[in-house]
Amino acid sequence: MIEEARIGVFVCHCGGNISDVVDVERVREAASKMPGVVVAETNQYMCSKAGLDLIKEVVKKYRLNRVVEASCTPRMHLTTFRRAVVEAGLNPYLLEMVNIREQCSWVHTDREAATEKAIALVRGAVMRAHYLEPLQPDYKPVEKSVMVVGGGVSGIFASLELANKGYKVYLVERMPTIGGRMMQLSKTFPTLDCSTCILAPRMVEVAQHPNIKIITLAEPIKVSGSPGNYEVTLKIKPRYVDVSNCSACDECAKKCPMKKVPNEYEAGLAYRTAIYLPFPQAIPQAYVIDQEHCLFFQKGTCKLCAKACGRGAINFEEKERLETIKVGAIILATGIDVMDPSPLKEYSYGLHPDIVTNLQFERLLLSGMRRPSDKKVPKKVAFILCVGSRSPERGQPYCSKICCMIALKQAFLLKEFHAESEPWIFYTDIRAAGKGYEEFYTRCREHGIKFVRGRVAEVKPNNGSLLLRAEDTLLGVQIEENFDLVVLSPALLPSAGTKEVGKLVGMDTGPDGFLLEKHYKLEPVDGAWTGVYAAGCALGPKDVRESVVEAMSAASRASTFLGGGRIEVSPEKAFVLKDLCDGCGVCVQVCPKNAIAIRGGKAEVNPVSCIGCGICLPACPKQALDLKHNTEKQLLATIYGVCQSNLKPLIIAFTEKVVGYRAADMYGLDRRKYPPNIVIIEVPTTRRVGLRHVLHAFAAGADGVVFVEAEDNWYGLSKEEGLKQFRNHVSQIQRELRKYGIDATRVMAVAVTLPQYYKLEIFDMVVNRVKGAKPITDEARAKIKEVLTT
Amino acid sequence: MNSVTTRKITPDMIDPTFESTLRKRLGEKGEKIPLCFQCGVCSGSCPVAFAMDYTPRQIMELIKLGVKDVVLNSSTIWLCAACYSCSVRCPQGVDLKQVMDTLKEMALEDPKYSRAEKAFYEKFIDVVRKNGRINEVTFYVKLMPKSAVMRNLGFGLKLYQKGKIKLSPTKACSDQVAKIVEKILAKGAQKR
Repeated sequence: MIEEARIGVFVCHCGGNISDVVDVERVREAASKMPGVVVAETNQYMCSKAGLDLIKEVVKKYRLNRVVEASCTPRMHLTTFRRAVVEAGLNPYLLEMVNIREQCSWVHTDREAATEKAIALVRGAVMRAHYLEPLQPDYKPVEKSVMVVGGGVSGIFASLELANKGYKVYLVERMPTIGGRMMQLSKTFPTLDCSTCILAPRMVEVAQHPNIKIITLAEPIKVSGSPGNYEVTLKIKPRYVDVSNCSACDECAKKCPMKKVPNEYEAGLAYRTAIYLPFPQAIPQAYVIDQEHCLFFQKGTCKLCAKACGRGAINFEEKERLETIKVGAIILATGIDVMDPSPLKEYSYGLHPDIVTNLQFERLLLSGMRRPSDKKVPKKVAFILCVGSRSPERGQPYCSKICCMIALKQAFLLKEFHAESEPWIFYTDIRAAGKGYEEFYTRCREHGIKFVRGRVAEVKPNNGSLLLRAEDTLLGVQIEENFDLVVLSPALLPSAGTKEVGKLVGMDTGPDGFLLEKHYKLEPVDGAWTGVYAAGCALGPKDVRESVVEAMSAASRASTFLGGGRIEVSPEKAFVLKDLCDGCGVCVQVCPKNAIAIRGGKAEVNPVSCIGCGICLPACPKQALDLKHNTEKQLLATIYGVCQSNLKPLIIAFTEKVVGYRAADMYGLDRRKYPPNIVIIEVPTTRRVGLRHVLHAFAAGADGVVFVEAEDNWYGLSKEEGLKQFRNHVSQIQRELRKYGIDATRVMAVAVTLPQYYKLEIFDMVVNRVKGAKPITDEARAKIKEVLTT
Repeated sequence: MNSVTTRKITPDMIDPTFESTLRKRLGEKGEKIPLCFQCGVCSGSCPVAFAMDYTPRQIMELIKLGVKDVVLNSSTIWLCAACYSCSVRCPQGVDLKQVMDTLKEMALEDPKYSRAEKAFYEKFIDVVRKNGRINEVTFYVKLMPKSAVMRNLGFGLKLYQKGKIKLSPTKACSDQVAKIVEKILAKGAQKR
């Protein structure tokens, strides 16, 4: 305690969001009688200018040195209110927030109980406020460079944007060239710009930009460090051709005997050699040897290409290597794949050369519009939409979003190419929402493209043509028609490896497999970790324009983050009480970040590495470790504060602050309900809470304890190992509790992820279980208290 | 295409409980019914849709609107060949074949619905229950009105002479088959 606490409590109505369920006036009155509270106020909107002015005015008027703000979740307005107390002349860490919206008014309906719980929460915060200490954040310089993963249109634009702002950019691409999917397209809807013509100049710009380093054939395999100072290990496959020496003269490819390698750029519709230039505009302009198909690598003899190369640019000795780069921020732009439609047997994909995907059709459009089987110009062409999209049982549940527009564009181009052609589009719903899209749809109808509303049932090869069956759902009649070419629009999938690369930088994938943004609406390109962003199709199927928008957003977010040249480092770190420490080293073992070392017989915490998880605290047999802003005194004060409540039974939910707490917020945001007997106490991780704290909770009057932990946030440990340690921690506490006559069933645990926030349904079960159990006797509680004091 | 008989749906035709009743009878499979988004894969796949008065997709829409009588009077539910193409291809996992079966059951239970196809099913099972197998003559006499039987007497005689049909039914494990039929009917009754 720095000085005698003079606490002000501010209770927010949130314009009815809180006051409709919680009796705000009663909370204010109860708060005003709590120890140390000098004044308690309410306001319709504490976050409004009037509310913030009120806080500042009251702090000055009553010479407050602590502020307790009871309103929404701190994830929403902690910064707002901290700024207000700073403007009032206080240290920001002397503010304590109580979440009586997401954790109270939005999850409860009983006014009496909700009010009682709000008072309990406020009391917990007031008691904790007594022990708050002013803290100063540290600052750490950042690396003014960015890694962009993926060299498609999103990656290219993100790189250019950042490079032009003066950041060093590492553009990491898995393929031998940048360009991505967009380079495979003919024209782009709805303006019908030539895709290559608009992208290739940007690729050259990337290649020539002094601030951009292109690293092809590379994938990140490890990311360590912290926001602003990430260290990335890249695995770089050999190209076997010296980029700086290769003049792209094509002599090597002419000599290569392997002429029948499927050409990826042509979507498998043409062949290339084993040494090849991916496409004429490839960046870097250098050939590459495809090891898998090269005769020398398969049979040990050949090297014709090396002999043909007049510059000696080919080097068969090149090996796969690892390279480490230091970057301040990371942007994932890993793009999209097209689903293989062959498992959907009714479409006969793969059984007939004239059944192609829309990506393959792009290549046909660019190579003279001949159908693969007999190289004739097809007259009747069917475009089949929703092949695997919008099909939860037979593919992907989501809409791939751009296929409608692709089909419209392709049908339009076909008609333009050959006026006699007859494009038919079989659709489920035409989705043409976008600037100029509906107008393009209208143009397509004017152009005589036929539209049939009905998902195609089957395509069967039929004497040289393709028989297609569907229902015209607008007529309710079956339709059978022969076509010369069938174009499928398969579902668009996140590119292979999205999940793995996301994992490296703490970005989860959603149930659809695409990367999950931090906030769906308001932080649409941010990852969960600071300094990690994503753009383009890695986040979900989207067209070129949207990809570019996101690329620029991600670049802007990265430059905002790195722009100051330094970042604030939270002062919430562990520290050692030297007098108590006997240098046993247990903390060194449990620290997940190797932040503790024994020096001169005492433990020492490295504040740069420490992430403030608090795992070391309960591990220390001497209680010689403590954690700033979540000290032992502060935590116990909260526990005792909330337990002095009329809520019976009372269950404390120790909730991990990053995922667990947000999950509880989302539960509230969704207006799901749980009993008011659950009181959430935020902790850095649940493993910061040891047996001693649980015993204190029972001594203080709690009837049960739940641990709410993040399922996949283990500071570098694998998910399995992290979960194992979490379960061990809880079951150890359960075992020990039996010795004090507390039934193990009173302590429960749940691990959640954000998409699975509904797992907090466990709260209902916990309350029912505790209600069903025999109450804890006063003697038992007294006994625990006695043990704790000795 | 068979003509669509109903061109107007009026309030008196709507039974708001129809969909939920059907869903309940279908149990877990019924949960998918509301997911139908009318894509038409079922009807496109159906080998008999050309003969139906409503395509299977239209039946789904009628179910969702609750137009019970139109659904249970439709030829669709009786013409369903149970080939499962619709169930296999439905992107939303609606098991249409099971839906058709359940609709048939519902039509059988209620004497209000009196399509010829319904009698076909009933008489067929009568003959099987009694003899353990089907006998064309008995079945035909039971099913058709007397006048039709009389009219086709000559043709029947020819068939008889060539040994294509037998006048008196032969029995095959009729006791066991009767037991099986009873068991199935009891099971159906239980589901109700």
